[in-house]
Amino acid sequence: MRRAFIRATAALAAIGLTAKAAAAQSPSSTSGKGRVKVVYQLSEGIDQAVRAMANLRNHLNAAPDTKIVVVAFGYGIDFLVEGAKDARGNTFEAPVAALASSGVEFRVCHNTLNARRISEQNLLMDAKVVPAGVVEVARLQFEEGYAYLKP
Amino acid sequence: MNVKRRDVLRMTAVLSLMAATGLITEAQAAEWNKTAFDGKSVADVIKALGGSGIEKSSAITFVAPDIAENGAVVPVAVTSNIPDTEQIAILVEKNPNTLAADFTIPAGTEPFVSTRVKMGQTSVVHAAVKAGGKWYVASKEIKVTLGGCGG
Amino acid sequence: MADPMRVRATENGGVVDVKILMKHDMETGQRKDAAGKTIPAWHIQTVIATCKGKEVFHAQFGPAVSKDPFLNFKFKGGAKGDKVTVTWVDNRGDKRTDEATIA
Repeated sequence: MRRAFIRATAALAAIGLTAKAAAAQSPSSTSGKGRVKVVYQLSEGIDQAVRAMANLRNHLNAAPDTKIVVVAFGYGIDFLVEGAKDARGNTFEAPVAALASSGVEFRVCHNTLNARRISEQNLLMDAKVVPAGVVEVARLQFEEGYAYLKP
Repeated sequence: MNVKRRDVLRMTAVLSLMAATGLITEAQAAEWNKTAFDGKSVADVIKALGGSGIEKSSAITFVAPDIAENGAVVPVAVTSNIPDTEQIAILVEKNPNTLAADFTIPAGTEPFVSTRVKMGQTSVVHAAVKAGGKWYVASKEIKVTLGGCGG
Repeated sequence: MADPMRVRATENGGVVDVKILMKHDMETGQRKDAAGKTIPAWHIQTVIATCKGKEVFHAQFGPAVSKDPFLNFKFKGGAKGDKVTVTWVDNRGDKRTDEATIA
């Protein structure tokens, strides 16, 4: 009788283990197959943007297949405004154009444009506008499987 | 007035009419200056554009980066302060074909253009301007860290 | 039909600033694919912009113009509300026309 009990317990344990293993495998749609997607959040200002230009370049050099979307809001939109310059006096037109040409998308928060009274017409042509930056960052992760990165 | 300018003006008038009636395609295709775009040197290109020589001018403002991180996308901007500017051309000396782009400035349009070109390697880039029937140039060396013509 | 281009036209002090971002691969004819075969040249050749029936800009592009060509020029004689029409034609005869209202 005791032997039966032990055998039953072992069987149950085996089932339990199998079930757990199955559960671990199924929700993984990002199990390493398919294209890696990353959303870069830029919300701090020109200095962060300067660093991000280098990060983005390195990122694509190392993993050219990565789909990258930059979402800018708050002071993070500064580098996408026409005429913006970094501490050295260089404009962002060249690096943004080069990244856009490699497939990087630049999305600017419309709430920020309103709050800071910046017209969409003042943005670099490579930038697109989305209704709300924070919503876009959350949406890309939750709905489209993007990984989050804040340089 | 020399023959070339009269031809250009006539062509422009014809094109405007065709544009209004939607018949633009054939005229445009016929007009593309293949000889100029096949040119392998500054001299070849200027000759194909109807010039007999080229003179340095400090009245041309040529804005371009000193170093291009990505040779595939190099922003260049040209402003001509020479009176009667009718044409602006961008020449990249070390590219497989020297002429990158050629712009016609109709009356009423500012003698200014900004665009993005590919550079295969570090090279002198020339902003050539045709004004009053003569060709003038301002030049600048642009260093390229990652060539952009492909191959 | 080719992908649309983005055209932006803004008027300030009588001068209309036009910025265009076209969608085109602009193949130089120098690149080779994975199999080693040369990818043929395929690029925009002509870009014409008009406003109120008058040509305001005319560009001839070679394959050395960057992928997804950007163009910025300025002209006098357009007012807010007028339309700027831009047409490009490539070396295969494909064409695209888009317009923007001057803001």
